[in-house]
Amino acid sequence: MSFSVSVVKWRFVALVYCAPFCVFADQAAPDIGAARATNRGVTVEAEFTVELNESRTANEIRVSVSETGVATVAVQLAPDAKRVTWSGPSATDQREKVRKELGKDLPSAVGGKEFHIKITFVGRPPIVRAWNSDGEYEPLRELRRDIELWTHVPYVVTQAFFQRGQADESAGSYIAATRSYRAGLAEMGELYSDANLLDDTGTKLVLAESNESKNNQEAAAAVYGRVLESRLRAYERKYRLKLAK
Amino acid sequence: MAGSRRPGPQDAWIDSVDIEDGTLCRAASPRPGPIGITTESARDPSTLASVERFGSAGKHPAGLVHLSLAAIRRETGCGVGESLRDQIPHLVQILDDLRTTSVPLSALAGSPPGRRMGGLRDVLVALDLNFLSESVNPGSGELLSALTMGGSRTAATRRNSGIDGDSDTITDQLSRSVAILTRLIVQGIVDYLLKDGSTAGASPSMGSSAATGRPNADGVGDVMPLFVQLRSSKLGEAFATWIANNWKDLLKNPRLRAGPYSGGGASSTRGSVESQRKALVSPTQSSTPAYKPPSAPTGNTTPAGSTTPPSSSLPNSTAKTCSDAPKTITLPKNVNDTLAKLWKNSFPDGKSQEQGGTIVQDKNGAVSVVNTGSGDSGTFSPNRNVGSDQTVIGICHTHPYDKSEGGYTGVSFSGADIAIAANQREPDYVQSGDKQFMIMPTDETPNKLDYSKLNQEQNNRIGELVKGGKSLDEASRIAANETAKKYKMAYYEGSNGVLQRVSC
Repeated sequence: MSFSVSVVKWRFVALVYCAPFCVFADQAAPDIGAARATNRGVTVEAEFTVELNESRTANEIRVSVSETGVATVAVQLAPDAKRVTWSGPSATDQREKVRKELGKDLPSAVGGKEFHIKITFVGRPPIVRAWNSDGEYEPLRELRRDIELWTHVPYVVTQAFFQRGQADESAGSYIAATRSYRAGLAEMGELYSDANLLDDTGTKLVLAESNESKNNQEAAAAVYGRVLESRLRAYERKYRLKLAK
Repeated sequence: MAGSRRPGPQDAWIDSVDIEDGTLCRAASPRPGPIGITTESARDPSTLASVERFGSAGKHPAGLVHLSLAAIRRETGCGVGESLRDQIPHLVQILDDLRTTSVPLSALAGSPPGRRMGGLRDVLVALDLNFLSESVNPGSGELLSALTMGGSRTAATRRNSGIDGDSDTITDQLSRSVAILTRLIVQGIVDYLLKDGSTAGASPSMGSSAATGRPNADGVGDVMPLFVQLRSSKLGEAFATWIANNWKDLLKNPRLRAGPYSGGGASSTRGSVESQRKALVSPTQSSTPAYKPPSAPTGNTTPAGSTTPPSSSLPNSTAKTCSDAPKTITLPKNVNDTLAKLWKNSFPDGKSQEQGGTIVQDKNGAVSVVNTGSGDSGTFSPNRNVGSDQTVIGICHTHPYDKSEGGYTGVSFSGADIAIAANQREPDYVQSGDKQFMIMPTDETPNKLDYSKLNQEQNNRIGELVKGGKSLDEASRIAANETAKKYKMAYYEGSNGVLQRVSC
């Protein structure tokens, strides 16, 4: 996952696997017929579903996705915050990569509470792994990151930050709004970008930073908000997504 | 009817035809179609009304537009006439109005110069050229003389012959008057350019000479404001484009230099064939690509449905080097109008939203903007899926900053914009307020620029400049120009559809 350092510092704190979200595990994966993928001689013989739960003191992320690519993501930035949910097609450019990784033996984990993954192949017992960020093996980190990209987790998290920033801005809390927007920008990174995008948000970001340095917080928040919204919309256009709510 | 000419002796200037150099005499062929006023002008009621008021009484004078074009060439010694082809009926109308409101020829001798200049000033006002009123030479009353003489001769012809006036004579006088007026205007433009050179430091525009605050190497000031004003005048876009492409040659043309008029007009046009031949050839050769209207401009519409007039051409291939790129680019009217419309639509509900489109050229050479659409506050994704008979020759978009973003205008290219222009090998046009920008790669520009790296570098540079006290728009223009130079691209700035190259 592409969490930037600044976000990771305060977000990756603790994990609690929340039973209510196991509703995802009950969703039957659609029959995909004979479509199967082969990688390095290892054949993924059955359709599968993946559940990924990331839970910390400040926020929770829950993901459910089937092999066919229909994903459901729920993000809650704080216990009292509004949950942002999104469901839609996963990123096809990441699907094959995840499928290949699942074709290998899933790395073992030392146990933990921050991350919990459950992979269910039809007709087989589910494979479950749980671990914490401080003991995250590289193969697990890579798998988790790829699943997040596959299911647009950064986009949904960014959307949550954007909504919180808007709420802060409406309440006149411009510094808090700027903080939320900046967190969203860090979460999104350059995932919104593509080689055909006439991207002028960087110029607007210069303006936002200039306003912030001059302690013009209201103007800074406004421009940061515009930039973040632009990048969200660009991401949606890139992956043809519908707006997260 | 096929080409023909009137029987009898061929006069040196009334009936002259353009002769091209060579071992054989190759005379210009008349255009197909009815002889007489050109089809376009014949449909114009104002032209017919003017001709009738001049005394032809319904008999159409032959080749008014054709004769006017030939007369303009003789009068000015350059090819500016073609750019005025569609305006000639309008000029005739204005001249006729001037004639009917002027004092008789007999009274002109004693009338003060101001009265005569006042008449010409009225013409300039009618053509939205009043900014030239201090530059246009009154021509010692030659324009009014030509007009009034034409009317007198017509009246005399009527009285003597007892028939409806000699329409050929009327047409000759009309075309001569049009030519004199054209020469006076072009002389005024030359004078304006030279005067502007002495005060160029005061010019506030974004042109290259303004950037230095000094006249440029041609001894003139910032030429862009002049082109902008010409473009909005009644003489139209084609005329403005022609001037923009040929102004340097005009400065070298002795017939058009300021000072007492010494006879580039009626008297000298009766001169030698050699002098006419020189006038036909040399002044039309330009150091910059000359404007060539599309061969089939009809039927070309923007998404808004506006018809494309004969208009400017846009670059449809990369130049070898930056200095090989056109110095001036004039947007076709439909493209300029579409950009204006996109800008107008860039603030729905007061919130910034980029708009853009794809500029295409069809197989007939007509240029239009297709696939117009919206992006968001800071991005736009062009759609290059165009018709099979269309070629993408550029993309365009807007750079809006709404009130909450400071309301900036004149914000130039981002690094991402420039990277796409370089990697796609296509020009990119931007509208930001009343400012317009264009950047295009040359053959010397790398074709695989790192999009993210370039974007980041450019944003960093803009940030540095802003921290150094530059406004955002100014910083963006400086950074865009620097990047253009670094990657050997041709970068343009301008407004109202006239853009000047500034990167080299």
